This record gives sequence, C-alpha cells and structure tokens, in this order.
Amino acid sequence: MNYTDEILNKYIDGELSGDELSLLKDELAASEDLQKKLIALKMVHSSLKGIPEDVLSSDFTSKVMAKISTPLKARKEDKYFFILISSIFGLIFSAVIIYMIYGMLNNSSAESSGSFITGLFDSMSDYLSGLKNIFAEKNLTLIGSISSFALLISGYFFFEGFKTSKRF
Amino acid sequence: MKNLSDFEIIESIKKGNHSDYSLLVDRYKNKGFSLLKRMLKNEMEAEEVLQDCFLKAFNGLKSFKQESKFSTWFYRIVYNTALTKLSGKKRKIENEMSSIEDHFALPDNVSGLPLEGKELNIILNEMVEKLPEKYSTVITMFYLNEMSCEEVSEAMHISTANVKVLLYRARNALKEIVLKNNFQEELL
Repeated sequence: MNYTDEILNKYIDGELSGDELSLLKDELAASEDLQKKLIALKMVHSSLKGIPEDVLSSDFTSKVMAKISTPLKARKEDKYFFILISSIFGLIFSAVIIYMIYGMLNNSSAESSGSFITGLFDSMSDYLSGLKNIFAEKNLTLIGSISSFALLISGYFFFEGFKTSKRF
Repeated sequence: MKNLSDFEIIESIKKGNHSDYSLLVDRYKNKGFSLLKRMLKNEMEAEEVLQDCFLKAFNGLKSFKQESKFSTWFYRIVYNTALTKLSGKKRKIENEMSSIEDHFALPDNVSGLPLEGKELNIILNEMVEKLPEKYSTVITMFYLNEMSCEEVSEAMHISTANVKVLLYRARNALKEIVLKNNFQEELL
C-alpha cells in the first residue's frame, strides 16, 4: 500500500489535516490518474455501505430460545427433585427422633421411681445398646452399603448444584 | 419493549426474565450471521455457529461488566468462535501482526465470470466474500455492523492501527477491481 493510497483512504474517512487536504487537492488537480483512483475508492466506499444485510430464517430466534430454556427447565426439575429427596430424608430423620423421644418418655413414665432425667439417661443407654447391635459385624456390610449409597447421592447433588451455580 | 437499550434488556434478563433475551437475539442475529458467513464461507455452518455464540453470550451475561457495548462484546465472541471453528488459524496479536503484510489476489477481470452484468455493489459484495477472513471481517464489522475502528480493534483484539491497515488494504484491493474493469467510467 503506497503513500497515496493511504492518503486517499484517510481522505475518505475524513482523517486528513488541513495541510494534507490542501496538498491532496493540488495533486488531484495535477493528476487524472489520481482522480480516477479517488473516484474508484469512493465508489467502493459507497457500495460497501450499501451491502445488504443477510436475513436469517424466522425461526432462528425460537431455536436459540429453545436451547436456552431446555437447560433452565432441567435445572428447575433438578432443584425440585433435590428438595423432594431432602424432604424425605428429613421426614425419616424426624420420625426416628420422635420415635426415640416417645420411647424415652414411655420408659421414664413406666419407671416412676427416680428423676425424669435419670430415666432419660437410662433410655438413651438402651438405645445406644440397640445401635451397638445394629453396627455389629454381621450388619456392618449392610450399613456400609447404605452409607456409600447415601454418600454417592449427596455427592451427585452437590456436584450438580455446584455446576449449576457456575453456569449462571 | 423493543425500544429498550441493550443495557436495559440485560438488566431484565439478570433479574430472571430470560425470555427478554429473544430481543437481543433478534437485534443481532442478522449482522452476526453476515460476519460468520464471510468468515466461514458456509451459510449452514454460520447459522450453527451463530446459535452457539448466542448460547455462550447468554451464559456469559452474568460476567458481562458493561465496560464496553454489548454489540462489541458479542461480536468478539462471534469472531473468536469463528476462529476456533477455522482450526489452524493463528489467534495471537503477534501472529496477526506478522501476517498483516500478506498479499492476496482477487480476480482482476470480471468478464467471462458469472459476475458480469451484475451491479457494482453485488459484485463488490461477492468480492468481499472472497477476501481472506481477517479482511472480510474488518469490512463486515466496519460497514455492515457499523462499528468504529476502535470497536473493531476491541472485537478482533488487534490495535486500531492494524484495523486501519486491514481496512485500507481491503478497500484498495476492491478499488483495483473497479479500475481494471473501468466501472468508474460509468460515473464520468
């Protein structure tokens, strides 16, 4: 790209200083070849301004929105599923606690001698013995399997929740 | 709703009105398509890549800090995605600088070619599509997308000076076609 081409382009973009403009006008007056170049460049510039915009199919926007809403819908469904599972576990846990308290209260009312607190501690030790039996060797495999399964489920939901929060 | 600025639409989307994103899609889909069509030289591929670009833009709205215009940011995504698609292209600024001196050749003479008899703007439009992708990108962004040289430099991640060099070179190549085929004589 030579000096004159650069000057002509700057002229098209209105970037010439007063002195440069004056110099160019003198050169244009003296050179028919330069005039032709300028006319050609102006034609290119105005034709490029008139390049028609490409028009996409009318359903393009709906295709994009469908791709966006599908993951959003899936995230909402994941969220409801997570809440459902948490609620079930919460209910089971609450039921166990209520059952334990009920048992403690029953034991403490049956043994009317001694304070309520002593009775509560006695019930607690009964339950701990019961737990000890659950975690006996023969039951360990079952307990281990259930714990691993619960851990896997929790890990999956934690990972999915982390991915979701990262995405948006 | 359609007269809202890009900023207002983005704020609405961030508040949870995801359906408002369709306004941005409608606003920029045609120009984005024009840019991709000239870079990828394939309409079907361009449409597919454009969908990906809009998805990337949607997912990135949370981190869009509005330091630049949404259009500039979006066209940057489009440009980078197209480059990724055109595998083997050099993307670093230094590599772009080194190839700024590359020369390219467009058909000198349109006679005998299918272009003969068409109007100049149609011929030039077709010539733009034959330009190497960085030149056609600058022409498309500057003329069709009506971006300033500064905005083009931001989208393409090159200096404003380099944008002007690319722009002038592309114009000069097209000017040579006009001169060699005496199109300017029609005006005289």
